[in-house]
Amino acid sequence: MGKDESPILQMKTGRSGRSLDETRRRLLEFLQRNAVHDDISSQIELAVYEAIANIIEHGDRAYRKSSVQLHIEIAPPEIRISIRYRGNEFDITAIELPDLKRHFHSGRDGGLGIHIIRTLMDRVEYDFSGNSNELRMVKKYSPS
Amino acid sequence: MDIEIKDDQDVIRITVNGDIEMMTIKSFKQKLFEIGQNTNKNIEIDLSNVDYIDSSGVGVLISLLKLQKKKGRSLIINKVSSKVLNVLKLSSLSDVFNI
Repeated sequence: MGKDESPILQMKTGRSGRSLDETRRRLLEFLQRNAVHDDISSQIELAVYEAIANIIEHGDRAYRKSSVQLHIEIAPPEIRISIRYRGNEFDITAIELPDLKRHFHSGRDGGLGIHIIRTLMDRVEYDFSGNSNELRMVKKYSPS
Repeated sequence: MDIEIKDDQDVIRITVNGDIEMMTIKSFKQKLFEIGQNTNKNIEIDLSNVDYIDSSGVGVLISLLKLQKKKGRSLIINKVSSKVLNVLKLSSLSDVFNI
């Protein structure tokens, strides 16, 4: 990596709990190696985990053997995350977020993952083309 | 992840050790529901040895809380790590569990 280049993590992950666990571990290592503060690291860890878990649990079964591509770039004043995968269109940015307390009291416990992603990240964008999905998330970040 | 269960006179004390995520959620859910369905006591959970909980894990806690309320019993999370507390706060649940 040159002096002016941003640290980047690129990896492919399978659609299984074991792969997701490994992805979470490598992601945290990458963020810690680049001295990203623990609070920000934890928030990115959780948002990325929930996004990929959502793809594994609710994604199109026809693509269960196709990998999910993760790209993270530390580029102050932000950290940019891209998650690409094949499957049906599912735009998490278009879903209306419920009032969680009312939501839980009404007997439902789903939808929390999307709420977490959109609450933790400063920007969430989604693109769909053909059968290719891309979820982009941005977290504001200033190295101390 | 492993779960320790201590059945005291008025309360069942549960201590969870390890992460609650996709790899462990099935066992976590199974054990907690088994306890919830077979007891008429209050339940206390210690999550201080849990470094990571995902939204499915939070969902299990919510379901157990609802089950306890139906019986007129309580579910209290009496100890919690800072990372788990953050997730519960994000879920607007820290006050529901009196943390």
